[in-house]
Amino acid sequence: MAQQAQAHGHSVTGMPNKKLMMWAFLASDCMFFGSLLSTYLLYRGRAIVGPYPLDVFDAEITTVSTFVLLMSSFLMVLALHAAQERKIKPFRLFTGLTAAFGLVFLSFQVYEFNHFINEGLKLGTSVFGSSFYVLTGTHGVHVAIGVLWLLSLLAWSYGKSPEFPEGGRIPDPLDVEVAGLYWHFVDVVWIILFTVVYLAEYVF
Amino acid sequence: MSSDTHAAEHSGASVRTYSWVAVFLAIVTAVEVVVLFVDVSAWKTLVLWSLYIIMAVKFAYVAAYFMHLLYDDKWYTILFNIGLVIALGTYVALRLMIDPIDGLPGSKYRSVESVEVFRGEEAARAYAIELGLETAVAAEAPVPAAADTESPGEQLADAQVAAAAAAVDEAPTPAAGGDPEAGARVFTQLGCGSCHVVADLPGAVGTIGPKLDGLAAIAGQRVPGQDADAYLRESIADPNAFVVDGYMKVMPPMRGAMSDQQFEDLIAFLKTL
Repeated sequence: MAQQAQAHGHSVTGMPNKKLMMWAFLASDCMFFGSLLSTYLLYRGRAIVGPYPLDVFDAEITTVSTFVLLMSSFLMVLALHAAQERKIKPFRLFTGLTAAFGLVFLSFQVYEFNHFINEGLKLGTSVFGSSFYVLTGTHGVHVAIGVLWLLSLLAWSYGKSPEFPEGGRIPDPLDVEVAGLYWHFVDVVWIILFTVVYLAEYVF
Repeated sequence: MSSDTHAAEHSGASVRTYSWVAVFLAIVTAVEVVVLFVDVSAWKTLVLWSLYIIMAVKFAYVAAYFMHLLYDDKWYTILFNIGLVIALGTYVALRLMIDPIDGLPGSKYRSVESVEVFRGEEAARAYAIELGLETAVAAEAPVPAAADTESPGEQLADAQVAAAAAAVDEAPTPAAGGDPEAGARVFTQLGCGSCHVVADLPGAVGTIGPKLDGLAAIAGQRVPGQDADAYLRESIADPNAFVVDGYMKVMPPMRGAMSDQQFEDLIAFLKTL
């Protein structure tokens, strides 16, 4: 771990600044999602007009999208491993697959939002509508940013570098790791959302 | 940047470990999803808490392995935990403020209306009695005819619809003269005190709307050509027709939330202020 810092130049803490910065950002993002989730929870059951959660939720579909996001985290780990091992084909494959899984998740979200709107749940319909869309929409935006980030890493890997005479470059593993941390965080937030927003509705 | 440096940097789990973690996460998620298909209403609380614990475990595994916290400098973990603790603390603080839990801080400062929304009518009436706003010989209440399976929000909506329908269906003959004491109860039950101050009503401390002490004297002078009685009635049925200077147009129409008799009682009460 100290070696990681040394390979990237001196830092005051002994840890690479980029990674420390990403963790600080993720800590703040916890608070961001925390307040949105708190709002959702405090409004739960207080909507005075429908549609209500169980009228619109289709948890089977949401389960599939949850699996997709979960597996994308695993793929991201493999992408980072490939970057560390300096193996370009696996790096491109796993980075691309992670982004693809993210896009699949997003398309499930788009489908779900469309379905809800057709059922009559809009942003301004009720406190359920507003808190739900803002919470899951914010998460979706985070996923979209992650997808763009990963695709940019993928595109970058088609450049030239002395490391690969036949063409191609692999980003610094630290950069891939930092992108990975963001991606895992987005997955972790969804783990919480899925349980608290969707599953809990079927229990209580 | 030789590959040695990078291999040395990468301490910690192997791909095998990550694979097992991924399998574990997938299996655990599959187990969770069972609640979607099985009726767990007999063990609601147990299942809910199990789901939360499972969620925390999944979170921990992703953070520890995929995000590498288990193998990295402990300061990353500390930093992240600071964010988590503040996030959790925010929820707890909000919850205690807005939907207090009996016995915990904040539970003494609920309004009767919030108790009705969050705990139901019975609890609200008991609380109002406790506060001295009602006598045990209880007065009327809005009409919930809700089945048990409805959420509180649905029940409240039903009650409002039923009350509004009742108001519409009745012939427009005035109800019996209003009883100010019953009107005070209506005032409290509907939570008017959350926006309006009334000196004699504990809990009527809201400053979003004008103070109501002295209302009887001034009601007839607010809108030219409108006498006190008409002004009071309009304030409840169509509050945004006239808003006192300096206040926002945020009062919801309240006529539909009460029966004709309750409305008369409320007007009678307001005239005593």
